[in-house]
Amino acid sequence: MLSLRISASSGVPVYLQLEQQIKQAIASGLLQSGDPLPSTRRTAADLRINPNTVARAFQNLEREGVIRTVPGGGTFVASLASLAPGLLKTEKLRRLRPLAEQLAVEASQLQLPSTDVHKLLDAALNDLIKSRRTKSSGDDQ
Amino acid sequence: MIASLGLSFLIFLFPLVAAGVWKIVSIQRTAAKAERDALPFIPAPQPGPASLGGLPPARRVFLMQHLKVAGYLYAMMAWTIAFILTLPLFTLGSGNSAKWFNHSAYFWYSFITGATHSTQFLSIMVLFSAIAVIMPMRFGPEARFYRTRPIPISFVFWTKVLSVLTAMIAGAATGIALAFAILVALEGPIWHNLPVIIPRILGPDDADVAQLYASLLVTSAPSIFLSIITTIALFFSAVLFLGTAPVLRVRSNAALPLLMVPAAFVPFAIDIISNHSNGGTPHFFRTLYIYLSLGPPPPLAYALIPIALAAICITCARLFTNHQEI
Amino acid sequence: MTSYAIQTSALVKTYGIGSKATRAVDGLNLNVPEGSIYGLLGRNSAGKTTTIRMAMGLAHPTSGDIKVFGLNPARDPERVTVLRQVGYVPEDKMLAALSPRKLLELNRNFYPETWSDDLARKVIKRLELPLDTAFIKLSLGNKTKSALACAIAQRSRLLILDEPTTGLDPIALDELLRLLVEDCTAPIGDKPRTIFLSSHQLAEIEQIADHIGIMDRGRILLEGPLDDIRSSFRRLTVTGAALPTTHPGILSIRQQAHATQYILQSAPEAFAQDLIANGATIVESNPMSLNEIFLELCRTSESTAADREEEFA
Repeated sequence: MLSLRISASSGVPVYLQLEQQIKQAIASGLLQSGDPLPSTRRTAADLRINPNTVARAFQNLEREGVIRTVPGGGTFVASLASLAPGLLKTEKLRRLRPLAEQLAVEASQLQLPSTDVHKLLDAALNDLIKSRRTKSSGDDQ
Repeated sequence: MIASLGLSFLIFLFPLVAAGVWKIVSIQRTAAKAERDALPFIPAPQPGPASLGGLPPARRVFLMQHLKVAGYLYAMMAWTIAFILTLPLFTLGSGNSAKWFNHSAYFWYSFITGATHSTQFLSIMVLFSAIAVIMPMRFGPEARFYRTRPIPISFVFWTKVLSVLTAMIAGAATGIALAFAILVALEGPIWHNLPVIIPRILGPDDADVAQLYASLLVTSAPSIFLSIITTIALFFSAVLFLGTAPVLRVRSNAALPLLMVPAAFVPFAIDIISNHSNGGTPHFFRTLYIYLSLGPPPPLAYALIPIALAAICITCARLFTNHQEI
Repeated sequence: MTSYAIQTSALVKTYGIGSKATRAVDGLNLNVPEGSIYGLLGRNSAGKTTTIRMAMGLAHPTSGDIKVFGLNPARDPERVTVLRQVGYVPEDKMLAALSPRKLLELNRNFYPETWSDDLARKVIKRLELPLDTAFIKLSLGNKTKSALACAIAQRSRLLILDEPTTGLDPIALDELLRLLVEDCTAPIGDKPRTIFLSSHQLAEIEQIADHIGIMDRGRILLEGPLDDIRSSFRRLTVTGAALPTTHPGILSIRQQAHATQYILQSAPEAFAQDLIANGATIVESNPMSLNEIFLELCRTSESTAADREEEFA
């Protein structure tokens, strides 16, 4: 179903890796809105990581409206339609700013001109849309 | 003489060795079968707390294990004492019987001296039993296992000490009773019929026999047997005290028996001293109710002294185990 | 109000007497919160096993205090209350000289309230534990698995594992981590469950622990939530003139050919901003893995101790 890969020693906190990978899965269409996620304990056991870490990641994702928990039990991917308008543009910009800064630092380290950086970003966005389209068209067939 | 002694030793050992071999073979056979079958882990359900007066299952299991071992010890002790005591009865006809004037008198003499010399061998058994109680409580993985389970230290101590001590004393009493029964069966109650006066057929060369006989007449058999039992208790508690005292700072299993080996010489020393003293039991031994030679017995009240000392040693040992690190 | 599964206060354990006395534990202040997975890290003679033995009541403190669930683990009757709720795997993996089946059958009698035969069967299957091998024929890995099966099937409130990975092949190790997370963290009733493990396998600890304590020469060098620790440590490679040599957060400084390397153990962002404000250039700023943090701390502690010894020599 969903294959997550966590590296405990990479320097990025594990809960952050989890959040990022789930968001990535949603963005690339591997997870669709309404899909169930395995429970905190199952996810922790499958990944061999601390359940509190998974709980923290799930809590953050729920706060951001990416996933929702049903009172009877069970975690599901939230409908993306409900997600996007819930966040103001300023909030979205605030979220992406650190990533942009990191990209800027790396680019300046490698002495890559900014036009190339823009091209890189556009290519990545296009690839994402393309993969989502092929997935949904694949499902139709 | 040697041949008969050797033969009797073999007869003594035979049931013990046979039982041991049978046990080992049966254990190996069940182990091999278990390995072949490879059954899943489905343990038998535990009996409810109704059995054994409401003890929690943990303590019940521990107690049952020790009662089983105590049973074996009891049997071994009874067999050993009965064998030692009845040995003279079966190896008669050699040695001094010609010198003795009266068959019953000689019989009785052999029986009693057999009893007084039995303490040497018994003390070895007591020593090993005491070591077998101390070692698994103090050293090694087994000690650590039980120390990390939820059973009180006092329960572990009393179960081990009381089961072994009771088994030894009960075994000794049973063995003595058995030997007496055999004596009575073979010869009848000979101590009633001993002649009070030595016939004059004996000449001046038989002075030692006359002296022995005089002592024999005043020897009290029940006191000797009581002394065997109190000496077992005293020796066991003394070794227990030494083995649990915090002075011994050893962490390995191997060291403790080496320290205990000198204790094995104590009973021999006792025997030598008591046999080479003139005029009966030396005063020190009388106070401890160690009555191991022919002659008048110590006052009965003295029997309380070794019992009291044993109780004190055991209580101290109990307090020592509280502070033991494993 | 956090409750602690294990808590020590100025704990000292001395072995030997007179001039040959050694302090295996030397003023230890350990705090293991309930509900956490706590990894105790340290070199071979840091005093981890001695501390664990004191927590199990096998050794008595020379001075100071150790409490398990707020109770004294060395004195009856509190000791029995503690042991009813603790599962223990010792360093040499020898619980009793029995085959695994007999050992499990023996051990289950001691924990009638919490023992689970189903869980025992699960552990046996997952770890591939051979039930009927005689104890003398058991390999070290199988002895470890046997001890682990006993401890895990107890479903205790506190699991104390002293080097639980000894002799385990990578598959068994992976299964152990899965079992620990799956079956040893779920609360029983309202009681949270704690796992306390000492290990050299930093990678595995880093994965499942949420609290760690780094121990060296009988005392704690560093203790706390793993995430916090990881975010406070940073390795900075800096170029510039007149670089500072002392600052509260600096753990160590190393001069390289064209740059200076700082290891920060607290407030790295503040320090970085300080450097930038004073005109230095930060060439590289990297987080540190638990292994690197551990190595740095132990090396620094060692050189401080060596300096102190030199002073007295």
